[in-house]
This record gives sequence, structure tokens and C-alpha cells, in this order.
Amino acid sequence: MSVRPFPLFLLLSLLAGCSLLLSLASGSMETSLRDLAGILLGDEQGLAGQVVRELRWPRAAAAFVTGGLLSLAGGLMQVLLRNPLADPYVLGVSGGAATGALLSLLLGLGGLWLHGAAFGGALLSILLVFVLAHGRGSWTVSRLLLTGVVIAAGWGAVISFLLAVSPARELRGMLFWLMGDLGHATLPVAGSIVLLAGLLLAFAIGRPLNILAHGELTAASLGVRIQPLRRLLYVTASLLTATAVTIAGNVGFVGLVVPHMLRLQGIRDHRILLPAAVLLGGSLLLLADTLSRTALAPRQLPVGILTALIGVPLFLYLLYRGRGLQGSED
Amino acid sequence: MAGLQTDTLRVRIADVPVCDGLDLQVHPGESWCILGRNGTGKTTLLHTLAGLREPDGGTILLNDRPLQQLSRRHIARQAGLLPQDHRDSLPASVLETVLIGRHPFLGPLQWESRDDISTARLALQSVGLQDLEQRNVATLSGGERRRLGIATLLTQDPALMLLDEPTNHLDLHHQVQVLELLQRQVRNNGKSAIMVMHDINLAARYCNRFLLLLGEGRTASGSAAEVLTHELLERLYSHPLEAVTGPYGTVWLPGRSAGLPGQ
Repeated sequence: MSVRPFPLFLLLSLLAGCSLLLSLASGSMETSLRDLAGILLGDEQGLAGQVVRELRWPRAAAAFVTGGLLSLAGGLMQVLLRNPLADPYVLGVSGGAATGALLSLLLGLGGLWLHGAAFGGALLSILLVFVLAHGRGSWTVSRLLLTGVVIAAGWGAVISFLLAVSPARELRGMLFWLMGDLGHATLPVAGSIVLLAGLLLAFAIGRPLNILAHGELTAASLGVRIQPLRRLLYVTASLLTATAVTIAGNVGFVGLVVPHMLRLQGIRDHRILLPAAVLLGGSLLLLADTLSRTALAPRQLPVGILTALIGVPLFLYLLYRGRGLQGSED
Repeated sequence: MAGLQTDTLRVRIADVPVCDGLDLQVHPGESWCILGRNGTGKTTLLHTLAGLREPDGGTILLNDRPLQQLSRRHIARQAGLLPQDHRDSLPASVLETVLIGRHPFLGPLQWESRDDISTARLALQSVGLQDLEQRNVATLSGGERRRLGIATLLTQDPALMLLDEPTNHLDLHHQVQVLELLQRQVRNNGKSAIMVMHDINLAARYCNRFLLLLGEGRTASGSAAEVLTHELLERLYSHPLEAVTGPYGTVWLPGRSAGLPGQ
């Protein structure tokens, strides 16, 4: 109520647009905004055009989509678990994906195999947690959380084992995957579809989410059908996460922090919060990725390092200002 | 009949019966109070009546229709619950919280209208929280949060109000204010209320029907004259009570626990 959606989305769209332009213009090959305009309008055919269209654009799109997926998944997970510390990885999806990805790297399989193995591992983990959390009928939040955390710990051990037995030459690739890396990203067609579908769904169930955030008993007494909504949330958040890790590995921090950044600005209505999180998370990861490939060029860094390096001070600053957490707001 | 009706209702917690064969008729204009010791299942019974839990036997009729056959949304338009106690873990403002009461009346993609907002503001005013509209609920005191819960229920505006200890955390002044507010709703707007209470004296002043959960499935129900008797109340709490007559009628004072040396 206190935040007007229109200026907010205008601002966030501007941020996303600027991040995209910056990303397309930055790199080892100097590209001025004027060159960029020519390339984007399609009348520039040279090497610069090729670099922007075939290298930078797919990677920028992948970064934005991954950031959007993770932020949306994080926002949904926080409502599902009613826990502000929840992030997309808390229930073990990323552990399953990492196990799949590391196995395929260990076997020397790359490209599509790597993506397929990561997605398969994530699905396996989602299914495992879903079934085990069911137990004998009761699918409570604490049971889900405990099951997910334990499964995640189990994956952690498997990942350590794979790292320990892998030959040294594979380790670097594996570590990059574990830290989140967009170096091998391609144009995220499937990812964009998943993100759009997730966003539409999140918007449609926004009001029930607002109510679920007040507790299950309250929500149920106000006519929300809790169990189907919880299952839907779990499956949606997990699939969004699985898609994100398949594109870019375990990019940390974005999914945890982006929803909170918006909540700290006084945005609590999930019909506004979740689409805003997609824009902000996408922009944040896009900026982080641009930095990761330019900061120490020609050396490339895993983007996960940069998300935390940008995100930590930004989040602490917002938290320090303390709006929305304490007392009254303007 | 309009209102709530139970027919040989059986509710159990694990294997312990809360009520066994309970026949209850809650008419518009009636305020029921459920009294009982800790752990006798007052909250469980209230949740069963709200349709949040399946009964272990018998039927519950809400406006003549079996509760089990009604959708959650349909029930929420006619019956509202004030939960016993809860804390929000994600931030929300006071106004946003009160507005959730309109949920059962809004379509899937519909946003809260101006009318909904003014209903919510009116409800905040009636519990004296109108100046805290933009405050984060996490910063409210226990009593303020309780009044916020009452305001949310008023925004939902159900014909049947189910209240789990509505005076929890409230100071003396606000206890009376909230109970008077509920009494007005029941008397003037043709609603009915079922509330769980621990204070026999406040209950006797503001409710006109009583349900005593005596343990092991035994119950007693009726008007104050019928069930708020010395014998039944002492049996209810397994505690000696003293009746004192004051300006508002009979007041019950707890006696000293048996076995303690007197002074």
C-alpha cells in the first residue's frame, strides 16, 4: 500500500535496461554505445557485431534469466517455509544438481550432458524431498524443512567425495560450477519460458501468498486451501531453482537477498514483490556477471563471487537504514 | 436454521475424547463461551467448528448445510476465526494485515478496492489502532497484536465469530472494550459468537450461553443459571470457588488450593 507500483517498476526496468547495455558494451573488445546502437539495429556486420550478438547477448540474457529465476524461487521459498532465512538451495535442489553436474564433469562429458545431468540431479532431489517429507500423511513445514536440510547435507557429502576423487585437471571446472559461472551459458530459451510461466503463476497466487505469510491457521480460516498451495509452491520454487542451476551452476546469495532488499523498502505485497524481485535479481546478476568477466580480464571469475561482493554491502546498507524492520515508516 | 448446529458431535485428541455426542445450537444473537481446564480441547473443538479439522463423529451444520461439504472459501464467508496466538515471521504493515480479512470476498485476480480499504480502516478504528496503520506488525505489543487480530476478524465480517481467548494479552480496559465490541456485534448485527475464555466473571458478563468441557468427553451447556453453578464450576476446574454478589451479579473468586496450610 505504501509503495506505488508504477514508479517502482519504471525504476527497475530502467535498471535492467542499463545493466543490459553496460553488459553488451563491456568486454575485451571496446564497444561504444554508438557502435552498440548500430549493432542492435542490425546494420553492423563486422567482428564487433558478431561478438555482441553471438557472445555477449546470450550470456547477458542467461545472467538476467538466472537472476530472475533465483530471486523468484527465493521469494516463494521464504513464504512456503515462512522463514526469512530460506533461499532457493535450502531444500537440497542445488546439491542434487551439483552432484549430477560434477559426475558428468568427472566422466568428461560437457555441454548438453552437463546441463542434462544437473537438471536430472535437481529433479531427483526435488522428488526425494517431496516423498520423504510426506512420511505418513502429514506434510508440515517443519518436516519439509528438516527433510530438505538433511538431504542437502547428504548431497554436500557426495559433492565433497566427488571433489576428493576427481583428477586435478577437472577440479577447476568443478569449482567454477559450484560457485556459479556463466562462462558456458547459451541463449536461455527454455529458461525464459520457465521464468515467464513462474512469474505468471506467482502473480496469480499473489494474494493467497500474502495471506499464507500470516500463518497457515489464519490462511486456512480465510479460505485458502493450504495443502495444494504448499505443494504448488514447493514444486514451482524447486523447478525454478533447478532451471537456474542448470544454466549457471550454484550462484549464491541472489535468491536469499533480493526479496529481502525489496521487503526492506516496504514492498510486502507479493503481487508486486515477486515481479520486482525478478527485475532486481536479473539486473543484479547481470551486473555481477559483467564485472566477473571484466574486472580481472582476461581472467574470468565465477559470477557467484561477485554476487556476494556486490550483494553483501548493498544488503547491509539497506538493513542498517532499517526501514521496514523497525518502527514506523514514511 | 441460521447459525451453527452440531449433531452428536464427537471430537478427540489422540485417544482422549473432548466431547462425545455433543448437540449444540448456536443461534444469531447468542454469545457462547467455552470454559474448561488446560488441555481439555477447547481450541481443538473451536477449530473443528471452524471446519479446520475433521470431526471424529457426528455432523456440523452451518446454516443448515453440512460443514464437510462446504468449500473453505464458502465457510470463510460465513465463519471467521481469531487464532489463539501467533507471530508473523515476514514483515507486513498493520493495514495490509487487516486487509487479508477481505480475501474470501475477492475474486482470484481481484485487488482490494477502496471500499475494502475503508472497511479495514473502520475496523482498525473500532479497536483503537487507527494511528498505527503503517506500522510493521512485528513492532506491535502483544495486546496491540491481539486487537489487530480482532480488527482483521471484523474486516472479514462473518456471521459466526469463533474466538480463541479474545482477551489474551489485553489490559483490563481493553478486555472490556473488546468484549463490549463483540457484544454489540452479536446484539445489534444479528451475529453469533463462540469464544474460549478463562475468566468466568468476564464470560458471565458478556456471554449468554455456556459450554463446559468437563473432561473425558463430558460436557454441560446452557444459560448462566443452568450451568454456572457452584457445583459444576468447582467440578470444572477441580478447584474450590467462592461466590460473591456484587454490582454486576455473582462474581466467582478462586479459593485456596486444597492441601495448602491456611493463614
